[in-house]
Order: sequence, then C-alpha cells, then structure tokens
Amino acid sequence: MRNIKIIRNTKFFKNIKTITNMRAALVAAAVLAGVALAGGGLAGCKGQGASGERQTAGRGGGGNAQVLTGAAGADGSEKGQKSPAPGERHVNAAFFWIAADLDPAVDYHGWVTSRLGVGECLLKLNDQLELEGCIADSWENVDDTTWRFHIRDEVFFSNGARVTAESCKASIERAVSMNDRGAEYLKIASMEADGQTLTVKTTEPNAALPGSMAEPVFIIVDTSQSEEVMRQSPVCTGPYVAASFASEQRVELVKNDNYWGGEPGLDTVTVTQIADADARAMSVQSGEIDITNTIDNTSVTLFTDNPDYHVSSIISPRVNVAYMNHAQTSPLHDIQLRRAVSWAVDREAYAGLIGGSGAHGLYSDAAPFGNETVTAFSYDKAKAEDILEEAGYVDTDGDGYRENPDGSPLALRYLQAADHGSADSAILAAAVQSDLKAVGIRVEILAVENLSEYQSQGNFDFYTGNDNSAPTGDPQVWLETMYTGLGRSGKKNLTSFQNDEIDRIVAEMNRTFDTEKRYELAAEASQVLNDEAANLFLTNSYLNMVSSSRVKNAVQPAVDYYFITKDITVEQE
Amino acid sequence: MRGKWIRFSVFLFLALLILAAAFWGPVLAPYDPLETDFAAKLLPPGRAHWMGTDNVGRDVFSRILCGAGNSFALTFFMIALVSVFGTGIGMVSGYFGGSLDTVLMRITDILLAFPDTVFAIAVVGMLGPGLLNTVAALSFVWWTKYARMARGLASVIRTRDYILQARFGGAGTFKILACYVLPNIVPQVIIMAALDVGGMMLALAGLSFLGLASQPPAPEWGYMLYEGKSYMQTAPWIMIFAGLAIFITVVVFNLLGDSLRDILDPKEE
Repeated sequence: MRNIKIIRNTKFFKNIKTITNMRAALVAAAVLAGVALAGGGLAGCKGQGASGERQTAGRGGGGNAQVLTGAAGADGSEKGQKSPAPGERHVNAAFFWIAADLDPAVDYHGWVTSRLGVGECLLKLNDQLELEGCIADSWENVDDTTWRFHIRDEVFFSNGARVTAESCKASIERAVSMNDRGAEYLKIASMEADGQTLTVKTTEPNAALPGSMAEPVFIIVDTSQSEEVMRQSPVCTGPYVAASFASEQRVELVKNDNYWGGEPGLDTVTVTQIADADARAMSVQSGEIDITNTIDNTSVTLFTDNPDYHVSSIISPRVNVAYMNHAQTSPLHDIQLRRAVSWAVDREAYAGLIGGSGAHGLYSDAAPFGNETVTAFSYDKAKAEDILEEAGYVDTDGDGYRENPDGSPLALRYLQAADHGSADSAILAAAVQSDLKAVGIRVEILAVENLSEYQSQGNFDFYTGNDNSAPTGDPQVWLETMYTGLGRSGKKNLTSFQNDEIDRIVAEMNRTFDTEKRYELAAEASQVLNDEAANLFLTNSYLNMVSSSRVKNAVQPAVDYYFITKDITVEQE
Repeated sequence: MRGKWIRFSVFLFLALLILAAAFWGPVLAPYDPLETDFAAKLLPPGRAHWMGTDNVGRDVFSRILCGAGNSFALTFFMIALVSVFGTGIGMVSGYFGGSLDTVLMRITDILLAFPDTVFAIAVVGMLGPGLLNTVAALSFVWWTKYARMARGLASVIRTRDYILQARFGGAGTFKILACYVLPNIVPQVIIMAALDVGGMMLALAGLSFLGLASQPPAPEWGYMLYEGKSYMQTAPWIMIFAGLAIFITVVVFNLLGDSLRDILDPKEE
C-alpha cells in the first residue's frame, strides 16, 4: 500500500514538472549556462554529458523495474526510462508531440499513432510520395465513383483477430463520423464489405481517394474495443502495441506478436515527449534518448561527422509559409502590395539560415507535382520597390517607412508561433521583417503561444506556418483545404483566399483520375497562386532524424507521419 | 566611515559607466542593431564583430549596447512608477491608520501573495504578449513592498513630537504629510529602489526570455538569451555576452544599492 502511494506521488511530481514545461527549465538552464560558461570556460556542456552517462550506468541493474511502468519515475532518474532486461532489444525515443490520446480518429492524433508504429492504413506512401500497398495489397478504380480495395489475407490485429473488409469498413466509417477531415477527404456515399474485398462508393468523383486512405486518420482499428482502449491502447495492425500511455508524456511500446509484416526489430520502446527541439538534441547527447527527429538544421551539425551518432535527413513535403491575409481588413488585400512583398524576400538566403531550400510555390520541391514548370518569385528588391512606387506606397512623412496610398500609416502584423518546438519560425520572421524593412515596409512581429485564437479573429496580416503540402501524397487535399472554402477541421483556409480559377481546378481534379494529369493540374494551381501572390512560400524544409550509433536502420521518411518502423533495431551487446 | 564613501564612489562610477554606455549605445554601436546580414550569420567573435553575430547575422555587440538603453529605460520607469505609487499608498495608510489602514494593508497582503513572474505570465496569457501588458502586470504586484515599508515608517513618524508640534503650529494634514512625513521616508525608498534595480532588470529579462515582454526584433538582453538558446552549443557567444551583460549590471547595481544603504541608513551607525 505504501509503495503504491510513493509511486503515485512521484508520478504526481513528474506531472507537475512536465506541466511547468521545458521552457521554465530552460530559463534556469540558460541563465546558469550563461553564467557558468562566462565564469569557468566551457565546463557546462561537458558536465552534463558526464552526468548523463552516470545515469545510464546507474540504471543498469534490476530487470524487475520494467514490470512497473510507474516505478520508473521512482528510481530517481530524470526521465524515468526503464532499464531493459538482459538481452532485450530496447530503445528510448523522443517525439516532439505525443497526443492527449491515441485514438486515430480524433483530430491529428492518428499521426502520433502512426509515428509510433502502432497504427497502419490501407495504403502507405513511400519517399517519392507514391502509394504502396499496406493492409490492402491492391486497389482499383471501377468507375468514376467506385473504388475497390483488396485486403491482404494474412493481416491480423494485435489481439489476434483477423482483419477483414468488414473490420476495415467499420474502422473507416468510424473515422468519417468522428472527424470532419475524414469526411472531407473521402466524400463517401456507401461502403460494401465482401470477404476481403472493400468497395467504396463516393458521392461525387473523387480521384484523390486512394491517397487519402494513407492519411493516418484512416488507421484501421478494431472497432469492437471500448472507447477507453481506443484512447489508451488502440488495437491496430502495426509492428508495435502501446502497452502503457501517459497523455502528452510517454508511451511504452512492446512488439506486436501478431504482426503480419515479419519480426519487429525491437522488443520494447519507450517514447517520451520532449517538445523543445534543443532539449531533444541535448537528450541525445546525454545518452538519455537513443533516437529522435525534427532536429533543427543548426543543431544537426552537432551530430554529423561523429561516429557515435547517425543522422538521416530528407527534404520533406513540408513548406515554411508566411500566410497572407486576403481579407478586406488587411492591407495585404491589395495584390500589388502582396507582389511587392513576394519580390522582396530572399528565399534562398533563408534556406541558408535554417536549412532546406528556397520554395517555389504551394507544394514542396519534394513533391512530384511539377514545380519545375512553375514560374516563381525570386529575390528582386528593385522590382519590389518599383511596384510599391507605382501602386502609391510612398514614404510621405520621412520616417523611412512607406505609408498606404491614402496616406495612413502602413504596419503589417506578423504572428509568429514556435512550430514543433523549432526556432526556425522565429528566424524566418526576423528575416522577413528585415527584408521588408529594406524596401520600406514596416512589419511588427508578435510572438504568440495561442496562434489559433489570433487566426480565428482574423487579427493578422501574416502568420507563420510549417505545413505538409502533400499530406496524402496527392496535390488535391492541400489545395482544397487551404485555398477553397472546403477546409473544415484543423488546418483550414484562414486567409479569406478565394479564386474562381482554383475552384475550377479543384473541381477538375475530382474528375481527373490520371496521375500525370493531376500533377499538371497541380502545377497549374501553383502558377495561379504565384500569379496571385497568394502567400509567401519561403522554404522547403528538411526533416532530420538523429540516433545513437547502436540504433540500426533509423531512416527519416519523407512523409512525417512515419517514424518507428519494424526495421529499426539495436545492436545486441 | 571613509571606507563606505570610497566603496560608494567606486560602485557609483561603475554604474554611471554602464548608464553612459546605455545612453550613448546607439552612437557607440559599430553596426545597426537591426541590420541583418544573412551571409555573415553566426560568426564567432573577431575583429569585425567583437562579440560575433547572431542567427540572422546581426552584430551582437551592437545589440547589447542598444539593448542596454531599452532595458534601463524600462527598469527605471517601472521603479519610479511603483515606488511613487507604493510610497503614496503606504504613507497615507500609515499616517491615518484605522479602517483605511486595514483595508489598504489587506489589499497589499493579497497582492503580496502573487508571485510576480507567475502573475505576469498569467496576465500576458490573457491579454496577449507585449511590453505594456507586462509592465502593467509587474507594476500591479511590485508596488506592495514600497507600501509596506512606507506604512511602517509613517505609522511611527505620526506619533513623534515634531508632528504634534507642527499640528499646534497650524500645519494642515497635507502640509504635514509633504513636509514632515515624506522627507523622513524618502531615504529608505531610495535605498530600496537602488536595491531593486537588479531585481527588476532580472524580472524583465526573465519575461523577455519567455517571449512575453519585448517583441522581436527589438534588442533586449533577455530576449537575446532566448534567441541564443538554440545555439548554446554551436554559437555560444550569442548567449554568453547577453548573459554577461545582465550579470554585470545586476551585480553592480546591487552593490551600489548596498553601499548606498550603508551611507543613508541611520540604523547602521
């Protein structure tokens, strides 16, 4: 009885510690480090590394600790990693985000379930954003509104139940009914299950449907389980199963003995949420974490050319965007001002600052959507100034900043929020501000925590975004979500953007089943958006995965809702 | 006795030196503190950039010099605000006593229960980030200690004979407060204010570090620490010099406050 109490208490304190947040800890760490570094040379970092090693050594004994997850915190180790039993293949991983629950049908929680290697969809995307079979091994387009999927015969849920077309149907129906995004992606009229054959009928032609089936909101779960199980440990088909789950803190994974795709490379995985990118990088240096990703390019240099670590980087479908407000209330309603702003920012230089490459349009260069045919803005300060002069934006009061054509002061409000715990958005904001100052446009940066609140009030001229431009490997979804009135959940069109040409292209995409043709339409849409100077597409970002050298086969996928795979394993000592 | 004055002069000299650097910072700075140079990002300290450059190629030395002005202006403004307000409330409360005293002191008791930084974070969370909101939040809780002290002094002073004599001499309440009570409180307030400079600077820098006070790109020491945090290992100079600036300033002003107390505080003699 007493023991349980103690465990509970330490858990409680751990919760408080996590709630008070990494930032608070970092204030202390930063100030201390600043003083320590100033006072006594570079002793600070070294000391930390050493204490991390001690910790690891101290955790070595006692295989019984792994039985009690709660007890892990009681052994005094900072993050509460459990000590693996001898011969057990164990890895400590850190994610920047662990959702409030693991139910794939809720919000974007499915992305976490997918990253954990717990949940799988009917189809999956490879690094070229091409569709591959997963739970379904083949799929075909029967007619404009009918799709047929064949479910692999030998797939089992982690509880041993066989995956049939019927169970897939139930799972997809659940996602559609619970998640607006799910409904929006599929446009389902009806589904029929016959043995291992799943037939999907849509209300209108929906050529993007197969790609959407790879989006983690459609992770196939055993719907016969209770809602509680669904949240804590959903029964899915991936190589790992969530054995215990602490909301937004930690997940303990064990291998799925019923996995259909072969033997998973690890026995157990502890996944901890560490929101701050720098803290994640340091946790790898200290040895506390074996594998993590979304490490800033500036920190990656700490690990490259070091035999103790392995770095895997790939250009991703993610694009750093400064979204522009097209509403009447914003000065950016004026296309001339948007064009001037678009010419005034030096995208290639930004890529030099934060890594990645300069963006050419709506879609990342990682996506095969014909970016090479699109005419994009480049850096041309003189052109920006000409456009501003011509449109009547001149400095009338001599303060170095231009005023609106009607003489009223012009100041653009730039909302900046840290995305994925990365410093990149702050750097981009400062860079855009400085480039626009150079052409005489005043930008006021507002660093906010609650970005969505400001967005919904329309209280912005720019807002910062680091978004996956091809979440389903297909160009339509992102275009539809952000540039038409159709987006309903999570990400949506908050900039009051409306364009008849884009609406036409989206409608045509619905009816266009040929992949190459779809890509052509995507390039056309990209061009329209560039001609309209719709948003500031700044950089295509890299995704970086860092792992200690004992972890094998850790490869960063281009699609960022994948992370832990069956192939990741450790060297046996 | 002389040792006190020597110490005071030394620290006063150092403090004036810092203030002078802050005042003429924009003139002394070799570069524009807001000027970015993407090609020259993260340069280590060298001849061209004495303290290196930050993540968008701004000169760290220039930013620290110009940031000093911002930090000091804000700190002194806040201290002036809270000390005048707090002293006024405390003096009135202590001099009149009775139920007014009780009410005012209970209010200060309540406000004293708020930890200042946490309270500021809560206010900024509700009203949005920005210097004005942060200043309002910090001032709201910071004046209480001045009120407490002034009240204690005033409640003692009002029983003194010279107050009675002044009253016999025909002085009105306002005149007594202004000419006889206030002058006896002011030295203590000055000591407290001098000792408060360091604390206030740290509080403001802490809030800026959290991104709650000054907004980018204004050079501010606390915010520079935050910007440098991601580069603690790869480009430590961004943090080191900002941290050093805060450290040195706080130490000098605390020591100045201490030596000022030695001189002004009659109790020490």
